[in-house]
Amino acid sequence: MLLSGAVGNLTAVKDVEDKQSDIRTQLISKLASLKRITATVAMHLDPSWRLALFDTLDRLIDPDDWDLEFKLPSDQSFSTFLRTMIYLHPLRRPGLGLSPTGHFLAAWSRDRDRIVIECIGNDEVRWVLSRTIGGERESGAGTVLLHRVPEVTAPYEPEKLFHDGDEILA
Amino acid sequence: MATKYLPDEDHVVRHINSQLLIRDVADHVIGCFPQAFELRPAEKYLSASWLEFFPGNKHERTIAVVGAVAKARTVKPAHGFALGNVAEVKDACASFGSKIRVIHEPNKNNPNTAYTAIRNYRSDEVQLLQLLANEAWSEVIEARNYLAP
Repeated sequence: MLLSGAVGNLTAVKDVEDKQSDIRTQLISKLASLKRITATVAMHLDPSWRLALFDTLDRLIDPDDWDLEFKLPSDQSFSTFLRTMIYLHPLRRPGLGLSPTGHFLAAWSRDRDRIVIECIGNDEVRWVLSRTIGGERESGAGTVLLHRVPEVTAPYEPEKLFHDGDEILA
Repeated sequence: MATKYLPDEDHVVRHINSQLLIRDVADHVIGCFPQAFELRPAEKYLSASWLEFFPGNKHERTIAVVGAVAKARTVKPAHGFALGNVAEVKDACASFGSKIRVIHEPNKNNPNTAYTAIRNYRSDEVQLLQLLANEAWSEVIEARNYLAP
């Protein structure tokens, strides 16, 4: 799935910088770009989640609420985010964020347990997870290619974080 | 001015941009991302404010500290603030080998009189950032509930 068709084509997404325009114009342009990227894999996404994702992008990349110390959101990070979602096929919707370095962030939480995935780009992700298992608090972290996430997080039994919720994929 | 270390029982408050808040599907703020505690490239220490610098109960102090931060930088209603107990934050950092110093550092160029620096802080360990965001510094409030109209 990651290698073929529209999902495979996401790996060709490159970061585009437009330093000629003012920051407001750059943000509006970036928002449109990310929505276009999403549209290329729309057939893989649940329609209601796609709309929710667009609303979230509107909120995260709001020119009226933008910290000039933040780097512009990375197209490559966003393509890695979409590929991660399609590959992991989570049944719970993550909370989404944006790091000061322009990386997309996804968090799944349940009670005090949480996994956060930072999408670096080019399929690379940084994950950190904390869970209580058998009364003991455990945490783990690492930086891997996205297809390795299920394997490296398996010892922490992340299924309860990823599943039992709303549909994301079509 | 003599160095003023914050007492262990007091609280530090960190301003969090809306992009770093975690919201649930109903759009309620349920926390913040670990990256909210990551130093920027040019930062030598982590910025915060001292809740108990101001008088009153917790709600009154929170209103005051949000107002103080808003004098120094832009605070939008959709932003958040993370509250953490000084001892718990110190213990969390110590568990990753970082002996932080939590110091009240007002200066005449900063209108935030409660300004506090977390010095000797290292943010290169994402599990520490997660520990702060998820446990030691995890009480997150929305600015909209505390900003002056």
